[in-house]
Amino acid sequence: MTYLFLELSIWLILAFLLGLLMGFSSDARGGEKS
Amino acid sequence: MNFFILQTLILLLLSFICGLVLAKFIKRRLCSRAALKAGAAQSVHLDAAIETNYLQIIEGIGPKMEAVLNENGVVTWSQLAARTVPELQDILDKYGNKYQIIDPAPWLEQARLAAAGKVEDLIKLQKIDGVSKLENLLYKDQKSGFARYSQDDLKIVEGIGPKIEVLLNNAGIQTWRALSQAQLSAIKKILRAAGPKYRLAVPESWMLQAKLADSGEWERLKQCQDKLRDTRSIRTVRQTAEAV
Repeated sequence: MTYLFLELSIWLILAFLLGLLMGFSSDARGGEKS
Repeated sequence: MNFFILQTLILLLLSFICGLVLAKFIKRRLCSRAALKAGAAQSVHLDAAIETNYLQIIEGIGPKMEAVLNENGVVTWSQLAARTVPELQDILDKYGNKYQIIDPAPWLEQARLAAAGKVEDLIKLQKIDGVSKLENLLYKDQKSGFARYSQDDLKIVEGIGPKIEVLLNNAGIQTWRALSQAQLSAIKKILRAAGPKYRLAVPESWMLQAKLADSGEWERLKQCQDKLRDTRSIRTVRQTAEAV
């Protein structure tokens, strides 16, 4: 069970990081429209 | 077990969205804070404005008023934002009639926004009364590429040279605003009437360019013209006109 939680939390963190990355890169690509 | 998988997927999706939202939020904050500094780096004027004429980006504060405030210990935006209206009124009262009639109330909100780095909000606030002083400062340099054109010089529009300008002027289109409000069909008619030499002209984007020039959006005008120069097919011009 502990192993399962560990794995789940790692996936959650990865998904979170992926979200962060996507958020930053989409802005960088599109640029800020003024 | 199925339920567990579903739950896991939802959690993954949620954390992905959390990351996305957080990134956007951080990015927006960083952008508004960096905007003034970035502007300062690219513009000598703005650099000077921020370094030496610190308070003068605020509507209502000129060189003299800034000197008065500096003498009384108000040097930065946050120092100004921390004062109250009666306090400022007291300062102004010391400097005679000319200063007594000035209302310092609008400065506080502007100073608060400037101190917080909320450039867009400050420009928006200043625009309520017409032109934004800060925006003018920020974009002074961007106009410099177009500075050689006087007000309502139609040649500012990519695609319009001296000859077409004369044609349009004769047809009653003499200002940027008039061109921005003109119908594409009318312009095409003018060009057709002028002979086969002008058949190559592509007027699809002229109204948009004129509109941007008329409203002083130099950055967007430049973007639009850069795209136009890249490729000149009508389709691209239309796409550019829609995109900008």
